[in-house]
Amino acid sequence: MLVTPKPESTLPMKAPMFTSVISRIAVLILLFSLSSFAGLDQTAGSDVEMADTMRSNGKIYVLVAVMLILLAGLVTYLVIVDRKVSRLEKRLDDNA
Amino acid sequence: MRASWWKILSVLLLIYTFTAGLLGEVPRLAIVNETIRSLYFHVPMWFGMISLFGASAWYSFRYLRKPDTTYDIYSVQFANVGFAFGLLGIFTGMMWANYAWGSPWHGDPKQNGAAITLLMYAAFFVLRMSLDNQDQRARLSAIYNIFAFIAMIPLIFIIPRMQDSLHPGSGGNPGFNMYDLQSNMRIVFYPACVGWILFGFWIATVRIRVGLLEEKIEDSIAGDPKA
Repeated sequence: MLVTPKPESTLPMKAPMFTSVISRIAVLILLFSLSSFAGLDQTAGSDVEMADTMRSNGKIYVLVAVMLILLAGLVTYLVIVDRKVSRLEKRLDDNA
Repeated sequence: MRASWWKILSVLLLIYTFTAGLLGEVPRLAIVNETIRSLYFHVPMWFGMISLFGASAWYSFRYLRKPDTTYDIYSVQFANVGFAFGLLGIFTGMMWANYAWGSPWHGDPKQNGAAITLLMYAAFFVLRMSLDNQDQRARLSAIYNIFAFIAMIPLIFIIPRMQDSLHPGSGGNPGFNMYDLQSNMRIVFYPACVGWILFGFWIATVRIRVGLLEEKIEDSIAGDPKA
C-alpha cells in the first residue's frame, strides 16, 4: 500500500507554468520570424560550387527523406517513452 | 508538462527545418558552400543548451530559496539535457570546422569558451556523484550550478566577441551578420531554433517526470512499514 503523498507533491503542478512560459515565448519568436517571409531575395548566379548536381538529379530528395525517417524514428521513440511515463504517473496517482 | 501542443509544434518545426534546411535557397558563398546549411543544426544546439542551462539555474535558485527535492530534480535534469545539447554543439561544430576552417579545433575563443563551459558542467555532475547526503548534494549543486551558469555568460558571449576569430559575429555585431543572414536563411533559422529548443525541453520534461516518479516511489517505500 502506498502512503499518501506529501503536500509538496503538488509542486509539479506549478511546473507547467514554466514550460508553458517557455513555450509561449517560443511561439512569439516564431510569429515575429514570419515577417522574414516578406523579404525573400533572389540569389545571384555565380561561380561558387554548390550541390547543384544533386538538386538537378533529384538525389537531394533522397537525403531529405533519409533525414526525415531518422527524425520520425527518434520522435516516435520519444512519444512512446512519454506515454509510458504518463501511464506510470496515472498508476501511481490511482494507487496513492 | 503533459501538454501536447508545444511538443507537436516542435516536431512540425523540426520537419520544416530538415526539409527547408536542405531544399531551401542559401547564399552561394565560397569556402562554406552548402555547409552553410549546418547553421540550422549547429547553432540551435547552443541556443538549446543555453536555455536549458538557464532553466536549470532558475530551479537551482528556487531550491536555495525553498529547499524542495522537486526543484533539485528539475535542476539536474535540465542540466543533463543541456549538457547533451552542448556536446552535440561541440561535435557538430568540430565537424563543420574541419571542412570550412581546415581543422576541427582552432583554439578559436568561442570553441574554447564552449569547451570550458562543458567542463564546468561536467564538474557539476561529478560533484553530485561525490555527495551521498541528498540535502547536501542538492544544496551544493544548486550553488555550483548558479555559479557555472553565470561563468558561462562571459565565456560564450563576451570574451569571444572581443577577439578575432573565425566564428561569425566576433569582433563586431552579435550573431550571424558574416553571412548577412538573408531572409532566405532567417525563415528557416528562427523556426529551427524554436523547434530544437522545444525539443530539448520535451526531452528534459520527460526525464523530470521520471525523476519525480522515482522520488514518489522512494517515499512510498520509505514510508510503508510493510515494505
